[in-house]
Amino acid sequence: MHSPPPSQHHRGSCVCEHYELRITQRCLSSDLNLEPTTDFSAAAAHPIVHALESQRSTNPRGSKTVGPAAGEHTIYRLGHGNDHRGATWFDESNGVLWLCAYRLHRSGEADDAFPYFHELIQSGNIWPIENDYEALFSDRDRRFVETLPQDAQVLLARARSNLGMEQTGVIGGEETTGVLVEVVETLEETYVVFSLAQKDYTRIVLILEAFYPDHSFNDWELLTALPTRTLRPNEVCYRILHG
Amino acid sequence: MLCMETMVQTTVLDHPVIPRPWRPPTAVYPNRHEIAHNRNESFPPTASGREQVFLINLDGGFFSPGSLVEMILPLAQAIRAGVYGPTALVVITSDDSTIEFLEAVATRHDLCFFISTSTNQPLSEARPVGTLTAMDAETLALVRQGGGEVTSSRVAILAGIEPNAAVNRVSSLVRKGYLHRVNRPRSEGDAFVDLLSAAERTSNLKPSGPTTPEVEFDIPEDVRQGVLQIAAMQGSQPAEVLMRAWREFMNRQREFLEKDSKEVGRMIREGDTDNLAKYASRHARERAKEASSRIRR
Repeated sequence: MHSPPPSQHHRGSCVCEHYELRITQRCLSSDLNLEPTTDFSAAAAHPIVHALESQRSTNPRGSKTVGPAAGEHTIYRLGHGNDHRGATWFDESNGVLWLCAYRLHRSGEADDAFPYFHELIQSGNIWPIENDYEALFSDRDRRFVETLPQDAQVLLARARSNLGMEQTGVIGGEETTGVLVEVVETLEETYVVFSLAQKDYTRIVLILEAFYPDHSFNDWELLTALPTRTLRPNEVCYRILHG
Repeated sequence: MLCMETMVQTTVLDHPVIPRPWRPPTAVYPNRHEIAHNRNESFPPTASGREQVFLINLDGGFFSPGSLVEMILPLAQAIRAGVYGPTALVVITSDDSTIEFLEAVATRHDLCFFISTSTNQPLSEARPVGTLTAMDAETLALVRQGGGEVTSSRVAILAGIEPNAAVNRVSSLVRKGYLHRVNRPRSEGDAFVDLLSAAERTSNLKPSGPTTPEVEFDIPEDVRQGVLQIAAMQGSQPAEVLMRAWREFMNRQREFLEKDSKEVGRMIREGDTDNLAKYASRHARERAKEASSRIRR
């Protein structure tokens, strides 16, 4: 048995091993009385956010639902003590678990959490909206570029220490990338291989530049194979030569 | 973009909505004849049969009340009479007095159009003006909340009302020109479409057209088109087809990618994380739009 790696707060996210936790802007402002752009770490003192992190960082689905199960749209119930109730939704395709709503549990009373959650579901206002996703993607992009240059250089150094052997690592926190370096007389050949799937062209430019920021796109050559193996489906391989 | 997030959306409409942006040259317009001439040149009265959105950007011009009326009134009346086919009119202006004046004109002449206060405002947030009742406005908001394309039964669910009442509500908006009705088989039910939401989805459109870069350098239109073509292949085509598409894109856009890469290289060398993040997020809004619209489907 080993415990899962600790989660990390980064801007609006709590980054877990396989997905991240976030709070919708509507929930932040209307339910938690916080600014819609509040960082996760600043919101973490709230009991329901604490419960979100402790209960959902390894298991994105709870045992109880709010209303009937609705396939991928199912809203799950989150509880902390007798009073605090939240509604969470796991957006598996985007790898994010949202705290969508919060309210105190006051059984039988008009302002009880559950009638409120049902009302939000009925009106369609419980789910995250475009602004939530824009903030999510912007935060991810930020995270990517914050660590990308250093990750790329570490991987490149490893490949230089293991000439002719492909070294694989995650760069920018999200991109599994293979690097292989060969030295032919005075020339060093670097091969970089990564998946083309779900890739913006800006990502490709960023990845290549992270390895050799003094070179530009035209210095890279697109290949159909690594010297050591053929490419897997959706993989792309670039090579650069320099003396 | 290569990922699915930027695929042009499917819609009940047979074709993407055609955006027809027009911005009168920056000038003072006391001359109504000049306005009439420009208007007729820009919007010749021919129905294409295709759904379209007219976008008139008033910012930058100075219009007398008479020239404003000359510009908007005949156009809105012609749209209402069906001269252009299924068409929505959006007037873009950030001037409060102009907005107030246009609202009065719309109400007095029973016109239907929309006002947007900024070229950066999403089209689906343009405000309807004219003879809308509070219930009409509420229903239109529900249609937009439902993704901009709904059936009457979907409206009934969203509003928590009886199906017949929902039919009445959307029919009222169609009659007044705020929604477009798409006839479909009885089993599917007719669709009611907010043309602005549809234009936004099918054209990746902003009211101003591609005039303002979101980051410090432009994305040429042919690059954007290439990106969309590749995105459309992703997930639906074998890997080798995707690779061919990427290779073709790369060859055609080599100059653009070269320019980008030099800029990105400079940012990395200088540790300019802020601009690197801006570059990486160049398509964040489009990705967000797609992700949120998937929830509504």
